[in-house]
Order: sequence, then structure tokens, then C-alpha cells
Amino acid sequence: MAKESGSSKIEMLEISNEAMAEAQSSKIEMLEINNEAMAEAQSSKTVTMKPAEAEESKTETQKITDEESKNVPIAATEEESKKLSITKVEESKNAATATTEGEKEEAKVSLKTLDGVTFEVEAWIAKEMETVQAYIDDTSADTSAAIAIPLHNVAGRELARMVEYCKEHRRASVSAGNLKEFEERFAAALNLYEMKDLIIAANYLNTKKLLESLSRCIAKAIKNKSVEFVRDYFGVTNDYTTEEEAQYRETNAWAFRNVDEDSRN
Amino acid sequence: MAFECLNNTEVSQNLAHFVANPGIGIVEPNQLSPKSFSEGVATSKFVPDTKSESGKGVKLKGASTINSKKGIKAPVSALNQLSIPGDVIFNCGLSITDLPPALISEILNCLDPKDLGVVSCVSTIFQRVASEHGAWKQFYCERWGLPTASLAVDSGVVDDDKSWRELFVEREFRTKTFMGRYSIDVLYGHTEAVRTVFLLASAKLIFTSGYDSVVRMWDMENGLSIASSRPLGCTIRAVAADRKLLVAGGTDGFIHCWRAVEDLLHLFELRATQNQNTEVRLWGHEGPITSLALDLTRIYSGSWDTTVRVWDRLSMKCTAVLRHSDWVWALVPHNTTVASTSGSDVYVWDTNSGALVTIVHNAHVGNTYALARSHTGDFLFTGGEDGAIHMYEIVNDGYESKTWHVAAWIPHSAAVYSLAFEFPWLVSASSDGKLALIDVRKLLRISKRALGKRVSKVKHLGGDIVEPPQRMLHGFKSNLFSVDIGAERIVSGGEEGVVRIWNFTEALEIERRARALRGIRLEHRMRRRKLQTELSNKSGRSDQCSVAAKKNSVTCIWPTKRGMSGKLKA
Repeated sequence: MAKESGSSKIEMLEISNEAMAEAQSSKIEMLEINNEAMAEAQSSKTVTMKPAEAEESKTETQKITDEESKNVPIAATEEESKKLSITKVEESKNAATATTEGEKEEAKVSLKTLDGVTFEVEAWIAKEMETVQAYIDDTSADTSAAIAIPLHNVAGRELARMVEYCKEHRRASVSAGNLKEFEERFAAALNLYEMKDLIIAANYLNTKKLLESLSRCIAKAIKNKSVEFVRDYFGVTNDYTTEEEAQYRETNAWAFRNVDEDSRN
Repeated sequence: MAFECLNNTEVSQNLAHFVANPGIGIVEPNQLSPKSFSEGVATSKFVPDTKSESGKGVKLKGASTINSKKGIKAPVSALNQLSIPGDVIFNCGLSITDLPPALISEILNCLDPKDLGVVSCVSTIFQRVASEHGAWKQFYCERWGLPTASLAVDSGVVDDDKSWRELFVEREFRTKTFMGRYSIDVLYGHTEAVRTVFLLASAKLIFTSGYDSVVRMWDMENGLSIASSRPLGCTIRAVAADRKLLVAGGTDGFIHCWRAVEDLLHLFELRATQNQNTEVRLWGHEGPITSLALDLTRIYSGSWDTTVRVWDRLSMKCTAVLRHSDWVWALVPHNTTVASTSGSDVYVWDTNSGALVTIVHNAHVGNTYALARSHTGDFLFTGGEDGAIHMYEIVNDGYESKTWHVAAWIPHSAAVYSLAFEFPWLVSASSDGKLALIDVRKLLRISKRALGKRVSKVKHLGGDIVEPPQRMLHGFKSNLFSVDIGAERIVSGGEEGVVRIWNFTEALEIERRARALRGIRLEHRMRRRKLQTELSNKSGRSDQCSVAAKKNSVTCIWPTKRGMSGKLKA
């Protein structure tokens, strides 16, 4: 019993370290690619800071090791994204398969969730989840083929949705119209609480496309809406006093022009 | 942290127990019925552990149980085994504010400043996240650039007391001044038509030049002439300046440059008698120079010889020649690209490689005389010989750039010679003697929403539903050749040979005075109402007298000896 708990703690530390390293390397990548991603980089800084405070000094050494190992999968991801926009789906599937054949014999990865369900996903889907990909890179090929990867913070329902999203996203990314239609359909099927759980899971597994898509959907729902609508939509209790709220409304009076009045309940 | 570790330890124990059970194997995600069966079994096993947990543990476990329950079509026997305490059901109503602030910040990143302002009125949590959001700096810089230039702070240090949000809100408020009252200054000094004007807001200077071949420097606030250059020998068609360099281009094809002199209040010594090092003349163009622009390291010049030349500011040598198919009329640089108009087309070039990025054919009927660009460089505004103004958006897909037509206005009855843009106002000068002020705020928002979605852009092409210009400024009888906007002022020059400044700086003050007057009137009305109230109080006193009279009459009726004597007296 004690050994098992010790091993689970070590695994937790490794996974969190990998997530942090991923965030840092992704931050560097974002800054290089786009200026428009500055805000995202700043928000990812916030993500990075909190686990860093809780870290011990020893983990800094592990960070460097993790960062070095990250260069290969990031480059592979970039190449894959370029191929997606150029070639057809079938060719990209073959390319992904060829890439994975060099890494390990099996083309599938086992993922075990919080509630004990085991998922068999294809390697290119695991590549989308950067936390899982980092775990695979750190272990040898023989070991990863045998043992299912434990995901302590992700429930089976969220993981099923994430796998579905990755598959549909790849199929739909052939044309922009289909992609937009798919994202709207995917978001419409979720209520707010399910979306919240999915955001937490996507943040833990570092699935960037899904995280950006969900953030955009929630922001779209509250765009140009009144304060009362936003409170109802988010289920937030109004903890302002009457004077405080009046003061904030006066300060932000410039923002209330052209607000959709029909959304006021 | 300690509690979370304990929780995960228990979960791992359950997982180990789950793996050890030989009856349950690895389940494929595609097979639905075995999945639901196994989840049902797992769910039933949580129940005994729940009872033995502490209070918080019960809630957390219960939450996960309910989550797993929702997605399951479990067998009836498994459902019957479940017994959930009432406290756990209450936790289903978890709010989105349970997300860490970083993720909320990620969601708010997709909003624009107006929506952030609304969201900050929702609750204290949202107010804190929205006001500290890093996007405010991005909003400010993509509209107006760094505030050092606009605030004219000599030290060049941004005031740390103000947050980016406060700077943004203040600047947004001041954009309303162009709809308010204005005063007109008329600057006299040129003897012939003024061909070009340039407003250097950071140094509070205006530079003008024209057919009399003299470059004049004016004080922006007082409207007084500071200095004028020696005659340069030909018509000066273009002027550009920043705090380091002033350049003027003429019909003979040269570019005359003045370097800024340190310790000089007005930066440039236009009529240097002793120090000749501050002036340089660049040759290279074979035709009249029609447009000039500066950035940190380069000078850009456009000419009727169908070329745009890029000059290095340090070595003062030509580094690139961009060839067009017709006369070059206007150009605007931004970062690594420069946009130019030639004939009726609009070109966008990559400055480093000299390659053509994109081209818009036949932007106008006739020549495209005027060009302006947003501070982010994504939006182009063109004005042409047909009197129309068009708005284009440059979209970078990462592999290629495309230019989309966004909107069109026809506010003038004659050619548009010059455009100037400062978010959200676009100003156009025309040969019909008028200036048009156009608010493009809504268009910018619509276009940004459409980023990444080509379908909606295609729809937008069909319907050019655009607001008319918000304001027309009348002032001249004949041609207006040039216009510039900045520091709440609009400067224009034309054929009359005078420079006009529309000064909107006092618009807010005038508005405040008007409101104060209304307040005084309200006070007067309140006083009158008080007077009427006092009159009604006086009528109340007469009522009291009548009551006293009634009391006296009651006393007379009383049958006493004193009463009898009273009667005798009467």
C-alpha cells in the first residue's frame, strides 16, 4: 500500500513537471509565431507561475531535461499541421502512421481515467494531448506499450468528448466552413457545467485547440449581452452592494452603449 | 495540497483494486454496452468508500459519482444500489467561477473592451479578472500605438500610476471630441497653394509646404509660425517628420532632410546658417516625389517615375527600389510591409525582400490618390479620383496574404486627395472643399470577429451596409490637397494658400459648461417650488387661527358664573 501511494506521488510530480515544461515551451513558440498571441502567452505565464511556486529546487533540473525532449514533438506537430492544410486527409493519415511506426510498434495508446475506464486511442490523438505525449516521450517504447497511462484528474466522459473532438476536428479541417460548423455543433451539445469540466480537462492535458475553441464559444455567448444575462448564464451571485454596483456601472458607462437590451431578463 | 494528495492516493488504490479484479478486462471505447456495464460496476464500488470518508471527501467523491452517473445508461440493479446524500446534489450547481482565474482570463481574452467593461460589473471576481487583464495593453497599442508619443512625455517613461485599462478608457472617451464643438485657426504665411501638411503631435508641431517651395514650421497650440526654410527651388509635394528627422520631397526628384538638433526647443533648424551638417539632400528619383514616410530605420519615397525607394536612415543610401506599373501617388509603411497606390491599383510590398505581397486591381475609377492605414496595419483606406473612399482588410493566413473589400463611402462630389486615420476616425480631404469624418469603429469590430471565418466575409462582400459619414466640415471654396489628424486637431491645406486647424480640444469643456448651465436652471426651478411650498405653509397658519376661534366659541356656551358675566360685558 505504501509503495503504491509513493509511486502515484512520483507519477503526479512527473506529470505536473511535464505540463509546466510544455507550457513554457508553448509560450516561447507562441511569441515567435504571432504578436496577436501575446495575451495568450501572458495567460499561460499565469498558468506557469502557480505550479512553479509550489515546486522544489530539484525540479528545475528536470525542467531542463523536459524542455530538451520537447523539441522533437513540437517540430513534429508543426510539420503535421502544415501537412494537414496542404494534403488530403488520407495522405495525412498515412504520414502520421509512418511517423508513429518509427517510434513504437503499436499505433495505439492506452489511457486510464479517474473512474477506472481504459481508452485505446490512436497515437496522433495522443499527440494532440501534450501532457500525454510528454509522458510517452519520457518512458521507453517497451514500457509504454505495456502499461496504460493513468490520468488522475480526467473523468471518462470528458476524455471521450476530447477524443471525439480530435477525430472530428481532423476530419473537418479540410475546409474552413466545415470546421466552423463542427465547432458550433460540438459546443451546442454541451451545457455550461459540462463545458466547464471539459475546459479543466483540456487545460490539464494541454490540448490547445480544444481549449481555444471552448474559450471562444463561451466568450461568444456573453458577447454584447447585459450584466444580468451574464450573471444568469454563469450562475454567479451578485456580491456587490448597491452603491458599489452603481459606482462600477458609472465607471464603465462607456461600455454599455449598444448593449443588447433584449438579453435583460 | 495535502488533501488533494490524499484524495489521489485513494483513487489510485481503487484503480489498483480495479486492475486486480480478473473479471474486468480492458474495455474498448467504441463498445458502448460493456463500457456502461463497467462504469456501473465502478460506480457501485464508490458507495462504501463514500461512507467512510470525511466531510469534504464525501462531497468530492459525490461530485465525481454524479458526473459519471449522468453519462451512463446503467443497468437497473446498479442504479438501485446507489444512494446519494442530499448535500451532494446541492454541489451540482457549481459555478463557472470555480475555474482557476487563468482559465477565466483565457475566456475573457476573446472579448473586446466593451464586453470586458460589461463583465466587470457582474461580480467582484469578474471585476478583478477583467480589470487586470493583459489584453488592455494590446487593445491600446493596436489602436493608438505606444502612449509615449501621444502623451508627449519627454522622459519617454510611461506613467506607472495609470494602468493600461485607465489609459484605454481615457483615450476612448477623448475620441468623442470630434463630434463636439470646434474652433478654427487660420494660419497665414504661404504665398501660394499649400500642397502638403504634416502634424507631429508628439512635438506639437505642424509642417506645411507647397507651390512656393518653402517648408514652414508652425506651433500646433498657438498657431504661430516658428520658422521657414530657404526656397528649395521647386514645388514641395510631400513632407514627413518624427522627433529625429524632417524630410521634404519636391518636383525635381530630390529629398531634402533636416536632422533634429539637440537642445533646440522646436527640434529642427530650417534656416541653418552655421551648422551645415544637419541638412542632407538625397537624389535618385527621376520624377516628382509625391509621397514620403518614415519609420524607425528607413525613409520611404514614392514618385511619378513609377518607383518607391527605400532609404536607410543611418547611411542615407537607397536600399530597395519597388517598381510599379503607373505613377505612384501615396504610400504607408507598417513594420515589414509598405502599402502604395499606383494608377488605380493598391500594392502591398514586403520591405525586407522587396517582394509583392498582394495587390488590389482597380480600387477606384481613375487614379487612387490617397492612402491611409490602421495602426496594426491590417486595414487600408483608399481615396480616389471618383470621390469614393474604400476600406480593405489584409488577412494573413500564414502562407499567403489576401485583401478583402470591407466597405465603401461616397461622401464627396469630387476627387479625394488625402486621407488621415486615427482610431476610430478617418478624415478625407477633397477637391470639393470639404472634409468628411467617418467613424469606422463598428467595421473594425465586425472584421475582427470574422477573422478565421471566410464564409462570413464572403457574405459581407455582398452587402456593403455602411453608416454614412458622421460629420462634414466645410471651409474652403476650392481644392483641398492634404489633411492630417492628431492631438484632437485636424489640419488641412489647399489651393487658397492658408492652413486651417479645426481644434476640438475644448469640446469636452464646452459640453461641461452646457451641463453646468442646465444644472443651474434646475436649481432655480427647485427654489421656485420651495417658495410655493412656503406659501402653502402660510395658508396653514390661518387654519390654526380659525381653530382657535372655534375654541373661544365653545368657552362662551359653558354655563358658569363667569360665563354670565361675559354675556353682560358683551
